Amino acid sequence: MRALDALDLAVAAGEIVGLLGPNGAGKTTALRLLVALIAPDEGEASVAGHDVRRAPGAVKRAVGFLSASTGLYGRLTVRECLAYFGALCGLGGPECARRIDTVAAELGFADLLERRCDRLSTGQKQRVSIARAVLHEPRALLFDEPTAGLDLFAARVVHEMARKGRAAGQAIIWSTHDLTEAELLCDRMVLLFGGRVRGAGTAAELKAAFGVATLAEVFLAAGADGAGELA
Amino acid sequence: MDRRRVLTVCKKELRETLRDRRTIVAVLLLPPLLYPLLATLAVKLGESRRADSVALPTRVVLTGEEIPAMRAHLASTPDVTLPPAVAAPEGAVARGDADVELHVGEGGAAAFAGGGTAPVDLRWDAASERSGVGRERMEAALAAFSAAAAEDRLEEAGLAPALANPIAVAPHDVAPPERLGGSVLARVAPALLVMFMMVGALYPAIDLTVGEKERGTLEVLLAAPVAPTEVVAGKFLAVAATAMVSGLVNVGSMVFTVGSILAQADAVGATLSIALAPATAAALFGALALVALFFAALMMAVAAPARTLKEAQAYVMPVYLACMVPALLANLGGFELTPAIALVPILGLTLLVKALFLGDVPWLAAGVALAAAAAHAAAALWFAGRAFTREQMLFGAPPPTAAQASTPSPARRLAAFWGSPGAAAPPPPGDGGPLPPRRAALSLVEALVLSLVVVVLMLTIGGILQLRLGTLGFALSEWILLPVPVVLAIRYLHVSPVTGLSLRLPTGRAVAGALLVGATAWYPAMLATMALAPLVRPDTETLRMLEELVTAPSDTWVTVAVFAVSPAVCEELLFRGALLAAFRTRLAAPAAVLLAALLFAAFHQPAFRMAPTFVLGLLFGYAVWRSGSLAAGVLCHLLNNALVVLVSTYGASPTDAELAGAMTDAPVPWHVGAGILVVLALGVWTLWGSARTAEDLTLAGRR
Repeated sequence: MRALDALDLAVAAGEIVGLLGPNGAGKTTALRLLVALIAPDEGEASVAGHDVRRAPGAVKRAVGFLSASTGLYGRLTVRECLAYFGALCGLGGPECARRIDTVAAELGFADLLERRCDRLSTGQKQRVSIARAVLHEPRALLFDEPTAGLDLFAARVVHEMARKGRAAGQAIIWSTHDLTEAELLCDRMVLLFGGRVRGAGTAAELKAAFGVATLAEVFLAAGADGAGELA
Repeated sequence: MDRRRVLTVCKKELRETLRDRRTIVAVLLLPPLLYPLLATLAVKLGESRRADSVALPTRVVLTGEEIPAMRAHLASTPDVTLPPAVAAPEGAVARGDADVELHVGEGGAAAFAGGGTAPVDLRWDAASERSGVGRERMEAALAAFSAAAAEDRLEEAGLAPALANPIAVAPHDVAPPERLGGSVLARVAPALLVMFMMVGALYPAIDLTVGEKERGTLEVLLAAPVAPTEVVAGKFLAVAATAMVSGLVNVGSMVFTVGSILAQADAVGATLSIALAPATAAALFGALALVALFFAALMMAVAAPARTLKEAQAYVMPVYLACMVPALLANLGGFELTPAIALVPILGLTLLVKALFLGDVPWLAAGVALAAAAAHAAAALWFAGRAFTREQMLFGAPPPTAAQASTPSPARRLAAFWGSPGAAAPPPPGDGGPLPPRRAALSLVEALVLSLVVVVLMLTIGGILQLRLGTLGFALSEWILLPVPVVLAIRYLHVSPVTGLSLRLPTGRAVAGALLVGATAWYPAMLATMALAPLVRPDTETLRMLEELVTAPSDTWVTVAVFAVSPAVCEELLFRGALLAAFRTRLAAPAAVLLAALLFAAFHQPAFRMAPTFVLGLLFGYAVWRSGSLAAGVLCHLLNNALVVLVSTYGASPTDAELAGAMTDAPVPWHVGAGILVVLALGVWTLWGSARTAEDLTLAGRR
């Protein structure tokens, strides 16, 4: 079975591209390819000019990855957790500490730095996860359903972070199946069904192409032949 | 590999582990507290029971004939009472009415009075502490009485009492305090130590692999600029460090406990010490470090394929229990640390730890044990490293839900995990689809693990069986320890017996070729022995032992069944069945035959047997490869062994010189030998085209 087939996607610096599709459409697989967690059987993928197969280390240094799970170590404090990922990304002690303080202040959790991660609320954990993803100031950000399970306030913090990243010239892929969020945030969207691209463009372009009024209708029309049910 | 990143991972894992209360309690706190507590309790309990028994007088009943002087002596002995009227005195000790019964045998009184020896039975109850104390008192009292009586007799005869005591023995213990303390430790410590170090590795190994996966942090970690090998190395170091600390804490606690208990004992007094010589202490540290490294890698490799912590425990527990067997065997005694035994995982290291405590180290074997342990640890680490590069390890399939009834067994899941080449993940469990088709053969790694399992079983259980039961033990070890692991592996690793063991009917041509080869294979085998004799000199002692083993059964049919049929079937099933097919999945057929023959040779110790068995292994392997049928190998092996066994049975028992010569001199004149080689060549030629179909010659598409 092909998890992804003929996916042709380029994201420019300072752009947020939404990756839309039902569960099992191949969104997470695409992101894992781009962060060099898995290698493609065929085809090519590169981030900031680095090929995922040939230079996985450089790719990972250029990427900030935020997965659906928060990915924090419960027995470490927030500061220890961030310092760990900072060290793996090559940030030295004092520089790393400075970045942690800056990011924590931006995301509004400076008072939580000495608290153990397993004592944080879901929203707090997600903020710390975002901090982890952006700590090393990557050139590209990959968000895999980052607002799943978050309340509106927490989700807004994540959205703000993405917008700031765009303004700072980061290339951002935002995987979601929340159409409202995608329309609100993304400059362009790619519709992925069963591993294949069923449409790409701005929200307006997609609506025009499918001849419908809302993004939800675009989504339903794109998946009408049942391809979206493919697991 | 970047050392700085490895250390970063290791430091973080240690910090997390040290904050895990379960690990702290199970690994670092419990053992050091338990030893002194349990040992002190046991000692105090024993002491108080003994003190109670010592405070009470010993009740003695005298039965049989009466020796008045003995009664009078006992009556005047302190702490001894002679109850005046005990009903049915002969069973008084068993009933608990008396502590000791002294029975003077028939004619004893007369013998005593006449200057002879009176037989006196001392009957006591070993299950009763008070009776035990009574026995000690009686032995002392009767010895004193006997000595006094002897003295009286000598005086009556006008002789000096010293005449009967030409020497006076006074025992003095000259064991250095270190050795004394060491011998006490050696009795209990090695197995306990190995087991606690396993626990020390087990918890963090599961937590840092499957725990990380289950908590969802592994994907994020590997998305950071750190290579999977660096993650594995860092985690491995952290697990090994925890196991090592656990080992050191345990050693410290044991030394403290044993030292403090023995220091209190009157017999040893304050002279006891458990100080180890610096070289021994360094070797002990090295051995413990290797134990830690080995278990860290092993537990990580075993736990990594699991999807949940619960599943990881299901994988790890059988391995833990299996590892306890060699550790306990080492403690039971009966095993000496020899270079061969040193190769057995865990057993070698446990025996080394024991030898180090005793201060009596065979340094060559110790070196082999350390090197072998390093190799075992490296192999296990390689496994663990591979696990982390598999997609299934990183993302896995979700744990099965209750509704998914047909979940593959842990063994099958493990097989699927390790059997699938590269990163190709097997289909997720419980997807309702049919089970995957059976594999053509075991994988190379599975085959090597299977060989290791068989070697360990043969060296340990097989050795005991053959030592205790002789011929029967040999037969049992062949029929149980060889086929059972093979069949289990084929069954549970989902391998087709037809291709995985070459279980196909042979053609007539294959049978003919096998008979020709089987009848003549002994000759090149002997030539190989002769060629290598200057390098590995056959020792007559082993030859004699082998000859006696083979000629022990009185019935020729038993001899043939045990020494020809059993090896032919059981050994072929492993070497030319499972292993040859497995090797062919990676190697060209001739290389696979060669590798199987090498293992077959290594299996036949001592060293001088390896040359002939290697040649035999090559010929048997060739027969199975070209015929596509295991039966050809079995036939060759059967005929070869039967010939050797029958010659040993019906030939005259050789002298030592003849035995030695048999391995170094030409067995037949050269022209006869040439004829034999011609027949062998004919057999080899016959086998070349003896497969039923061209497909039978291949294995999963390989020639």
